Amino acid sequence: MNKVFLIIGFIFLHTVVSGQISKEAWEGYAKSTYQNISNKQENDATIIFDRTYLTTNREREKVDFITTIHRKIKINSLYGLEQFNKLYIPTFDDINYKVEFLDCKAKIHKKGQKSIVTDTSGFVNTTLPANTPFYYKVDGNVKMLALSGINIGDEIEYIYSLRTPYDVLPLYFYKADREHFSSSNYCMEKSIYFDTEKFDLKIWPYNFPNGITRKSDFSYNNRHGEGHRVMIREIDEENNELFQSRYIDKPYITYIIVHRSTEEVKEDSWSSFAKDFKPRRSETKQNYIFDGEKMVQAYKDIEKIRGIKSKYKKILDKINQPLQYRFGLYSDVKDDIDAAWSYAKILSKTAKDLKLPINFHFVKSKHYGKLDKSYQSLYQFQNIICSFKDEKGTVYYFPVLEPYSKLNEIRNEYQGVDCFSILQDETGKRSHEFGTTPRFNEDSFYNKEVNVNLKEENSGSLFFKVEEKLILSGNVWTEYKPFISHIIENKKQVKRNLKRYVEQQVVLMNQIDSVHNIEYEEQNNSFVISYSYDLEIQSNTEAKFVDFKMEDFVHNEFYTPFHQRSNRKKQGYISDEFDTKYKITLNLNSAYQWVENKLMKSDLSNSIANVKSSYIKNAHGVTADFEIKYNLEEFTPNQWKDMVQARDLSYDLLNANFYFRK
Amino acid sequence: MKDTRNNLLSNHPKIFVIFLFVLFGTTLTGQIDITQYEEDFGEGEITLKKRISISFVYSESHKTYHAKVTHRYDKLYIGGSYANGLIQVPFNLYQDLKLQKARYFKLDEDGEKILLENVKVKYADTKDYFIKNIFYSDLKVKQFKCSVDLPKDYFVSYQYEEIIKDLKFLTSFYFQNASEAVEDVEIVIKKNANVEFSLYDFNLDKIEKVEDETSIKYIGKNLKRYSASNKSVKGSYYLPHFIVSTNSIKINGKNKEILKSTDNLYAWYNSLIKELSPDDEYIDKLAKSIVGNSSKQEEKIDKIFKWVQNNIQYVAFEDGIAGFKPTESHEVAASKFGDCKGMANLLINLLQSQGFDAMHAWIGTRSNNYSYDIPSLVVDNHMICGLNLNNATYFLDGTSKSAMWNIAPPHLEGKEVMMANKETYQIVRISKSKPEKNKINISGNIDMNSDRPKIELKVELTGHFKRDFVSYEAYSPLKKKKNVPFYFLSQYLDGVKIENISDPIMSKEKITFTLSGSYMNIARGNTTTVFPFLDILEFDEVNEDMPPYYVDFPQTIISRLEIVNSNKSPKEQYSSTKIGNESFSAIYSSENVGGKTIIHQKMHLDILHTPTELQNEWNSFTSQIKAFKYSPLSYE
Repeated sequence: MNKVFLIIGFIFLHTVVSGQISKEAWEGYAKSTYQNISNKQENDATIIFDRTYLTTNREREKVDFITTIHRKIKINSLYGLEQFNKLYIPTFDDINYKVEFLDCKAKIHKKGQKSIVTDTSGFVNTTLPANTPFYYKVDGNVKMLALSGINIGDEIEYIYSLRTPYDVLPLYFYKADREHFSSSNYCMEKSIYFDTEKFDLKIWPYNFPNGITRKSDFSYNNRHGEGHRVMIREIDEENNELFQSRYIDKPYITYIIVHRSTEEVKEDSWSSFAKDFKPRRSETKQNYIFDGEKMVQAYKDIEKIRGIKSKYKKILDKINQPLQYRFGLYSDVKDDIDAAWSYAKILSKTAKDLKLPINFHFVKSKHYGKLDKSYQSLYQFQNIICSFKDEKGTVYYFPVLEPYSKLNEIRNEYQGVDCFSILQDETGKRSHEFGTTPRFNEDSFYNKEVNVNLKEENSGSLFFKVEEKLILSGNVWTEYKPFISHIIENKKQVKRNLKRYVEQQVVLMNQIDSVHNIEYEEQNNSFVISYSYDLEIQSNTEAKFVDFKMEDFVHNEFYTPFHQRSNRKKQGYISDEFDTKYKITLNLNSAYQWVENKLMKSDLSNSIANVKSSYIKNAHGVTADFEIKYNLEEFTPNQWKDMVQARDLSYDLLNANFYFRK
Repeated sequence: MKDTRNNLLSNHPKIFVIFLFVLFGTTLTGQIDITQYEEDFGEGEITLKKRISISFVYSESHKTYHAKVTHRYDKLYIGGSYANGLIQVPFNLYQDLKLQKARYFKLDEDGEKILLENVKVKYADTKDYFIKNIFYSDLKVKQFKCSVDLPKDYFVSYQYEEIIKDLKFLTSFYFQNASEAVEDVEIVIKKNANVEFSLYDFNLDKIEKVEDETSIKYIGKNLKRYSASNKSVKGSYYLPHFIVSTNSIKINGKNKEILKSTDNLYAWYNSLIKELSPDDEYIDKLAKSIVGNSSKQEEKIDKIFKWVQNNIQYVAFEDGIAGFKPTESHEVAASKFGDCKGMANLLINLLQSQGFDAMHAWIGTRSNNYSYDIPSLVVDNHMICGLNLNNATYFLDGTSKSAMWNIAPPHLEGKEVMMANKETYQIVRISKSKPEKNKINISGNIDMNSDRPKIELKVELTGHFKRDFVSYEAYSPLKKKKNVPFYFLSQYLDGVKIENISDPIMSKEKITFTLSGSYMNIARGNTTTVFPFLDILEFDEVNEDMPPYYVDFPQTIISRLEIVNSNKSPKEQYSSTKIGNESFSAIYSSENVGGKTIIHQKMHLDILHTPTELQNEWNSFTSQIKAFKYSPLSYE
């Protein structure tokens, strides 16, 4: 009788689990034992494998999407043990979206001993904690289980399956997602298996940087519905190194699973991409890009103006207006390629109607790597930059979604990058080519000048008047321009809002009452803000010296954490780092004598940057200059030494004490 | 309806005037002068009005008294919102919480409130909450936020009601938290003839307390924000608050004690311990396998303690009553994980099985400021194992990976312990350690031979410093272990740019390692001026709006630096200078020995937090000690 129950039970379990998810994973789990591995690196845990199985189960009126996770992890240290001794399984239960837990098994392999099986009936169910740092997950739930009997040297192995039911006819089923191949610990193998029978599968392996392809087992051939695997071996642990990119060096794939009868999944070409850019009537009749103004009226206004450059200036003014009036929209559409695509199509039609030449340059931000010519998709770009040639043959560039922008004000992340260009002549005829965007503003600085003047002194306190001038020039100004322009446009609130910005520039803000005399001026390709404040410094009456540091007045962002100084592994990206100049004058009085320090004069030039500093002694103090100018926008791990050298010198100079003898 | 109102107003001019006055008054009182508030309290959270009312209500269905607590808050946020105005109201399984109202407003240029959203509070999320990555199933929050974008300055008004079903869980009420400024706060406790309670006040010097026949009212005005740091003591030391402890309730003429005294508290704890039924055979077998053939008592205890330290991981899934009742010891031993109670219980059972006099012991760690004079659940927050051996009492905390069984860890120093002894208990106090036991000894030299002098330091750590280092190292990732000496000591090495560190050498008494690099506190002109005194005091002066600093443990820091290769003698010499008093002191001096200048520093802190009653003396001490940083050696 018991045997009968066992068989029935087995058949039931087989239907629920094995019938719907990859048998391979569960069978692999059942057979798995302690695995002798060599720890090549100093790792707290070694991920022996991390396998994800994605399976579609097609039924008459719905599709179940099954995700099975199978992991095996060797524990090498207490830190590693604390990371992996709890199992968290995310689930979700909402009216529109469910992720249901199906089953889980877990065991601990011990070298030379019997494996210990964890009772997986004891899961604690909880919401994702209210204080979870992952804001996007706060609506989810989590099942938690502490794994029992683990010691350092053991191997943890677990497998679980989740079901996401899609209440749609299989004919309309569509799923697209991205899977990452990063790992918090050294990972010997990470695989993603697809078993999408009766559906088409398309995978783009485009973000496999730095030769990872060589280590991967990648296949794409889903014409007949076989299972497929993407596997990468020997994935280094993710290090939070300074200047590494969250996007560029992280391998991932994007996949689409779709019913084969709906649309043929086909490889695209740049020609078809360019062809698809042709504006359709339904896409260009909207007048939102001219802030509600009728297109005909907008054309009339522009036609009146003489000269190509002036006409485009007017167009730029008009397309800027909607974002200037509703500035909140800017953060929504900034670097949104879909929004840029819509704008660009209307501009294409506008240019054709006005018989103006225009080019559209599809650009990928430096934050996301370089253009991949083998990947024909709008979604590898973040933005579209327009250009035109005036009657004299001068080429001008302008962005499509940057409020307050003028001609040739292109953010640095889109300067000097490879692009795909669609060229349109004044008759509307289009061609396409690959090219490179130009660079603007060779001389761009974040520049701060500070005057510190001693006004008064009494029992242990020194009272200073500090005047600061902030000069944002070139690319630095282009970066800040939309926000600052928006602040100064609102005349009623300008003082209050600009004050908030200014207060962020004052290092010792928590030691002063308020900033005063805020003045600003937009100059040719730069912006100047000046302000002052009163600073009281408690002077130690017991001491014979007082000291100041440059970093009391300018932000010193050159500290390199001790543990990051050596063994750099990742490429570094510094296109966001501003070239910087600081000038500080310290004026005390005859009761104080500056103790000269020749160590504050320096001149370093290496592959990364040029760092210069000097000083001039004056009657009651000193004027000191500091400048750092970067030579490149990204560096190899081998150049890290130069980067540390430049940063160390900069940090030391800004951190150095100016001693004044009383 | 409209006609009626018009007629009423026109026919009664007086009413009309009153109506206008009320309208005008409403407008005036509705205005919020943000600039003034920002000037008075600074940016951040400002509670304009906080009202809490505590009453006792009889529940017919439960045949007992519950506490009903109503809360009402009007808050102004200046300068930006966190998570779009997220408000989280904590509660536990022993409370029913009902959000009643929540509204978000923006403020126009005149400071008028303009309604942004009337939150549908019945759809507020109920979420679990983790503390230091530990999940407590009985700790939850109800939360809501504004569904439209909030401006930088906004106003939120909300109210809720909580019913505390078990009066043991009626505990503390705070007038403000550390980052909150409060303009106007009132907390009222309504008296009930059938409920007797006691109040224990803390830090209420700025709070007025008014009592009449029906209620006790606390009133606070213009409570400024504290500038607390991660080195500050926790809020119970300095924030204004009180504890309500329900002594007894009278039902049908019969008195029932709740928490009249600590006896009641112990009785409840003991009842939970009595529910445990350890698997003696399992524990006995395990204990024997751990102690092996050891015969000495100390050796056996050491082995058992280390086994628990090394084999049981601190994992707390505290579910319901498990927040108070330990997990069975055999379950903890088998699963290899547990919380503080589970680990203490396992230690106790293992030691008892070897014949030791071990017992359950409850304690409030130094994160709170209470003693067992107060019969309340907030007094303790931790369980350890008490052990009587050879006329001495020891306190074993299994949650620490680096503690020794015969030395209480620093987070328990100076605190009272409630030690179980079947139906009775004993309150004992864990003594404070001696400063000279916990020592950092730095010795080395500054070599003036190069433009930027080189510095080499040898560091020795003893006592709790050693224990802290071991703990820091144990919990660090393998790749970062080599950096532990740097991060452990960097706070004392202002001006020392560390370039190399050696592997630490560990012995039973001490840990030793060396550091080397460049010395930055120097000016080289026609005269070379070096500032050789290290900044060995990690604390600063304590101002009025600052909480006291938490001192990890009593300690001594000694530094001896030789200035070498200077080729000349400096202009300055420093005779021995002693500053401070018995609780905190320092000695500074320099001497010339064989052409070398030797700099001596010694600091001695015999305190667990900076003294509030001797604030001026402390500030003078810190000022003098910091001044040594500016004492130069000048070489012409």
